[in-house]
Amino acid sequence: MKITVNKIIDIQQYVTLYLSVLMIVYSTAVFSQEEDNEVSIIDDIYTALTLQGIDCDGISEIEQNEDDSYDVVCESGGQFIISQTKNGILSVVDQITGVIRKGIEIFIDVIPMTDQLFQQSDEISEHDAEVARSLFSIIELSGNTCESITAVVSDIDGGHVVSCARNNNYRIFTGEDGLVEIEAIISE
Amino acid sequence: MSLWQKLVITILTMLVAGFVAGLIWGNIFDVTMPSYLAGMAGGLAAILIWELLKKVVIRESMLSKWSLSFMLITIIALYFIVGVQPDALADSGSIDPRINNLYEHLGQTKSIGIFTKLSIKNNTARLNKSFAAHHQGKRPPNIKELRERYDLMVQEMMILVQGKDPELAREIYEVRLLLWSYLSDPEKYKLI
Repeated sequence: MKITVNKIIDIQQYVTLYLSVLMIVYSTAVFSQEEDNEVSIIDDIYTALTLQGIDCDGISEIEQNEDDSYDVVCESGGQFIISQTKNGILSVVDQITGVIRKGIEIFIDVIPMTDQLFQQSDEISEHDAEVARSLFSIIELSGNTCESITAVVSDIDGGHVVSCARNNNYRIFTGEDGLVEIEAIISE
Repeated sequence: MSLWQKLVITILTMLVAGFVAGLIWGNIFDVTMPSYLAGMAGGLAAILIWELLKKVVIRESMLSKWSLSFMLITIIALYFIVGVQPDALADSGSIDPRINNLYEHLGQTKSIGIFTKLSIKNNTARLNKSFAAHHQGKRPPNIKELRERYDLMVQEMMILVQGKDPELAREIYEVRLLLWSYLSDPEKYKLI
């Protein structure tokens, strides 16, 4: 039996069929990606705020604005507008205090440190604020909680012991395999 | 023209079309082209070349095994040269290519989002500013303080990626001392 391919489907039909299948695959890929983005943008913004030392405790509401900025309401009560400037800089506007924070300035006022830590010196240094910010970020991003840092002690091996309010104490160090480990210290 | 000859030319065209589309996409958007779009570019090019091959009359002698083999080798060689060039350029610079590779991988990883990357950029820029002040003779920060902040920043990056992108985490851990050697040395710092 001889089958002629041209008589089953001509080139125009082939192109139409090919493009139709392509469009279906493309649409599916785009829609699934949008769903993924919807989930990950919350995680992304929460992580970005935490890295700046902002105690968000999770995001309860989020809304995208026309200019691609996001209105964010934190579980902790904070409200922020987060966006990327034209120069590729992170911008965070505190909607409650009206303070605008852009670029490389450190958000000392938002880093959760209790008066106890402030009293260790007359004025908190840039170094202390950065160390506290980093430690707070590491604790929160590892899934642990630290409402505010009350004390920081450096280990001999480069690790840190962090005391948080409500008796949550942690030891943060790098393991032999290079991975960062956070140990909860149970106080008696 | 025989079927196998058409197939070879079509496959080569698809590869070239997909590769060129990827290069153009990368230059415009600064990210890797999604595989389904590269596939689409290759597929559309295949339709065009297949139709063209049906219409164009080419002498058999022009498409001998040797000429097709030559085309194939040329395209593979071009692909290799273009692919290798960025590394070769990096080697010719003064900074260790492993540091550039790490920056590139951090920019490309999908394990962290765009706002997180911007937030990291802010923090690293701030640390970089402190290094610059230190190398200009300003105290504080002293080198011990800078080392503590640097180690903590590495730990922050590790905690972000060690669960989602273990390969990148390993890369950060392996490059951390090398990067420190550049940041802490006033002469090498100028290269960054």
